[in-house]
Amino acid sequence: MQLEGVTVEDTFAEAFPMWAARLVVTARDLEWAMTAARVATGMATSVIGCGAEAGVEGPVEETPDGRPGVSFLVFAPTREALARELVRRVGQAIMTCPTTACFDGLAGDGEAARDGPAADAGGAAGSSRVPLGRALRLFGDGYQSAKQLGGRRYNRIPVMDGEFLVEDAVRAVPAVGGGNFLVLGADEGAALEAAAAAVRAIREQVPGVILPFPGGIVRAGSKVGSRYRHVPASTNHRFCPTLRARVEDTALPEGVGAVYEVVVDGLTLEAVTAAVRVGVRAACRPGVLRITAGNYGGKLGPYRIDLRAAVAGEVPC
Amino acid sequence: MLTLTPLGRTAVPVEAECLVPERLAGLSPDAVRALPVWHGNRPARLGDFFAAEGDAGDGVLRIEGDVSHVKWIGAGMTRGRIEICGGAGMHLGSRMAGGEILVEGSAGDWLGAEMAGGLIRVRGDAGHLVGAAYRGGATGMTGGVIVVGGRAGNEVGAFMARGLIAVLGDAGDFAGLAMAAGTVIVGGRPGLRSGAWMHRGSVVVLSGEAELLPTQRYACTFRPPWVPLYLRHLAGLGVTLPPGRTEGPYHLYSGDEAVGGRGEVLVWAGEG
Repeated sequence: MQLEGVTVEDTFAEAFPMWAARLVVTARDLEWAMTAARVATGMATSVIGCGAEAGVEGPVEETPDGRPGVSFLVFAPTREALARELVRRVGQAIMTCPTTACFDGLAGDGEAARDGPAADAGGAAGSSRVPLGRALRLFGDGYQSAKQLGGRRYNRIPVMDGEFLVEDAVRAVPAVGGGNFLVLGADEGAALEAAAAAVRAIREQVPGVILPFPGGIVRAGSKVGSRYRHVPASTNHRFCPTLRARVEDTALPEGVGAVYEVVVDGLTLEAVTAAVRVGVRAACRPGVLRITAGNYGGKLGPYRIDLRAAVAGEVPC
Repeated sequence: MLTLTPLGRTAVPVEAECLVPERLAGLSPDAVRALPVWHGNRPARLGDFFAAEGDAGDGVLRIEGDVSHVKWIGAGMTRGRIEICGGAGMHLGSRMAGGEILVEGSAGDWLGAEMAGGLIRVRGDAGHLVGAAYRGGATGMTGGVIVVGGRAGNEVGAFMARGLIAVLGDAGDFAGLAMAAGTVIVGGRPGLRSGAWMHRGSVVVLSGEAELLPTQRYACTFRPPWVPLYLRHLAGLGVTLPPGRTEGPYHLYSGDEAVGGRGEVLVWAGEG
């Protein structure tokens, strides 16, 4: 398949099940809300070493308390790991941030969120709540209190600028991680420019997804396992230009000088597929020779995002 | 929808605990009129006091007229909706656990007493002991929302343990008396001793005018982050609030220290 002169390979991205939560942080102004969200999603690029993958979605127009707010998504391999990461990140990065409050961003999303990834994709069924404020409230040292309104419970933890208000528990939903595509460019500049264009397009057009790596782009793409027994993931040698002459299974055609990967985590398989579609279309520009995707022959996860089918689909509104 | 039309007013109150949508569902108008009620200390039939038309199969009971002489309407209801196009008598929505009651006029004493869930909306005034515990009971309201558009009498929310009571006008003395938790919002001026004997919970005074006990001790002036949630919830019910109340700030008074309480009275600190 050719798109704007770029070859889109006949392959698939291999994604895997995760659990996700959406939090909304509000603050006195948007700047503080964004600060809290950015810190809470810091160092959350890959579950290989971060415990969670997380990213800021952006400002929220309507927040529970009417203040400026920012939403962000957190993904983890299991519901338990997600609960653990949420407590750590909210406790350390949001409760500590001036004037903030923290709410469940999926409450009220109802059935769409509960269904998670497409049922036919084999995702874990149903959603559930994981403790958040309930786990943090003891920081109040006995001075904490709670309010309950409209079926939602909020913990009030005294802090030095007033109170930190945090939702007692938040919805965790089955989700999809590891959607991806790789941009093979003639050189570093062309590949990076194309990958960055893909990131911009996804962030502007596709809700419910995050691109967890720095600037949405990863240069250290990985494969499962390594030659060292204690290293669970290692460099994706097939796409490293410096190894082209040394490895027999290189995936780099002649003329490729740099490769960047865009990794997508989403609340649904449809959202991840839409992100791949929008991203690949935006990345097809001069200086890019080929677009492909990372898969491990079905060893990594049950979801397959066919690259050509995804690109041929309709762009979401 | 079942429509009941009062045949007139009586000097002696009528006790009609049968006026609950779920109990009326499936009954013909004749069966509804045959339901037993008390007229003072004498047994009577609902049809002695009301004309009935339609059925409550959809969970809606509409009372076309003033029934301020009728007690216990909606008592214990768990679902459905009652619309009263006039005033309502004592114990309206007492111990209700769900559903909705809308009163176009005013309501008597013990409105939503020991209520556990649902919504009561009174456009006019309410009597004493809104959402309170009955005498001898340990716990008043434990859930749900009561909104009184006008004034309310004494002891609003006495012994309440959860839920929200909003009185948009003035309230009588002892608002939030001995409350264990929950929230009482007073839009106007409360009477004396708001929050007396409160253990936990919140009394919020939107008018900024409150005469408190010395055992409600001033702590600080700040913007309590939970108050906007409650006021926005009320706004979602169609309640119009004075400007600036959502944002605050509020004076925080902690107490009641007379009973070692950890409750709070929040008094709007903005400029009136």
